[in-house]
Amino acid sequence: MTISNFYDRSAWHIMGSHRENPDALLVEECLSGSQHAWSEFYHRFLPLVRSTVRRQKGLNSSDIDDLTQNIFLHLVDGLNDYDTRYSLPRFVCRVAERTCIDEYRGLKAAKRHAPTDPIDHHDGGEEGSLTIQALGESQEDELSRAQIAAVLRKALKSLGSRCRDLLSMRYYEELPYRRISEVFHATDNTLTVQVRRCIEELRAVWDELMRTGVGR
Amino acid sequence: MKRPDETQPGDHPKDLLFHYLEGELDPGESANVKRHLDACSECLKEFRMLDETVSMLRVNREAFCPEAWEVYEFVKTGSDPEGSLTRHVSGCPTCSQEAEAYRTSVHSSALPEAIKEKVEKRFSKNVTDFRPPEPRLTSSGWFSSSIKRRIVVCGALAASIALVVLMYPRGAVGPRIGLSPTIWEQTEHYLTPKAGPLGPPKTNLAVLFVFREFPGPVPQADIDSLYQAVKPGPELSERFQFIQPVQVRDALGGARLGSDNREALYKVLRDKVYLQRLLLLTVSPKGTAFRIEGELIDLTSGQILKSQSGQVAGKSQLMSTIGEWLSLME
Repeated sequence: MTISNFYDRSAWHIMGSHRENPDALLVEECLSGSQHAWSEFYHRFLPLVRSTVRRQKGLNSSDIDDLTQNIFLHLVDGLNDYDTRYSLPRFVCRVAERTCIDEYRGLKAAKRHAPTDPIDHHDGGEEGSLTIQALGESQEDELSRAQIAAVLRKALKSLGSRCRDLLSMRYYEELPYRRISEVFHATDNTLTVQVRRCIEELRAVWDELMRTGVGR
Repeated sequence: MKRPDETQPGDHPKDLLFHYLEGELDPGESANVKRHLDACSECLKEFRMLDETVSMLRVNREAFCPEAWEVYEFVKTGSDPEGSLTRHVSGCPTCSQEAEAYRTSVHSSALPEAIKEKVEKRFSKNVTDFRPPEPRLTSSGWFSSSIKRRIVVCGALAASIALVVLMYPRGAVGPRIGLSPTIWEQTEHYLTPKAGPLGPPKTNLAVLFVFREFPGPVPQADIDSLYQAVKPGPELSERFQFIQPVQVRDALGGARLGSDNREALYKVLRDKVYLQRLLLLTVSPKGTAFRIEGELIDLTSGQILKSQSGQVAGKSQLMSTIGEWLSLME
């Protein structure tokens, strides 16, 4: 028996999934306290949160696990701040980055106020927090560098697409001006002047971000 | 190369500073600029600003990487408005590794205990899940394992359907597909295909609830409880690879099923989750009772392989009807 037009003259109505914005429905279900929805939320965004945490260089796998869990705990509290007009992955990423920055600041503060003599904690440390003793100077430098990179990324994104492409080809792909000039059909000299202007523009944005505290 | 300005004694060679920094000057020009920088604090300050900014870009190359969520959305939706993500992700080891992680991520069932507790604590006043108690599975299979399990499942179904009818007493609308974020927990060990020389791969199968002639939307908690009630047991899982309800929901959630025939539905399921068999369970109110139809459909041919239907007036009839649905697959 072949089926066709089983439900004649009536369109499918889909329940349990928001036709225009499935993420909005998932958030709604999470906020209603559905464990199913939270399970879906967790497993959907676990790779994204882990990637965001991994971008904070210098963390060992245990730190990554702890921080990942802390981020989801923050999300349980903060999901009602999500504005459904915007991307849910972006919101999750922002919460993850903010949690990483807070952890980093906490670690720095704790380290500043830590006693000079090392203390041997045999209690395994406080659950849900990173182990300060695990953070060496190089790790701290890496974490700091990750924060700098995040601000620099923000500054780069504020530039026009041509500037971003020029700077990316020159300083990320490390192409010589001769090669870039072939792509942009411009002389080496013209491109060098344009790259300089982009650098100046980037620096102005960077200084502004640092001045207004976005980068801190 | 022609320069914007040639350095003259006493002039500030500002336009040459960046060329000098980038090593784009010939040795003579380079020596002139260097001499000027040794003597001019104003130009030296500008040169240092350029040098610092370029160094910052060279040291923090990851700043050129898109944000993690942009890579995620690129993988999930193919969205690349400026065309730069495709180029970057393909050439960047870090981003391509992230993209691969997003592509290969699979749903699991377990929510970490700390998060589960936090959710319970945070939302304890407005929990809406309506679920039957977790059934105890035995090796004897689904619905034949114990009378207790049958009563629990059927009771949940009856209660859910009764709740739907009570909440929406009047007026009828067209069929509604009920999707759910349900993940059948504690089933991975038998939902996962076994490795080894055990014969041909199992046919995959999904369950889908459709509500006909209900006067309004069925509460999500009731839909969830229905999916929870039809969680497959070990014996069925030996014969079919079950697609989780959440995967069906992901496949159909953004689908445009504006047409009025099943073919569009089947096509989406075939294309998105490569579905081979669909168990379609249709529930409709019939006075104070309910009509339940079960169809096992081969999605490759569009044929109904088996079908059963029944009218349910109470728990015992509901149980026997559900038994008929399940016998479709025997």
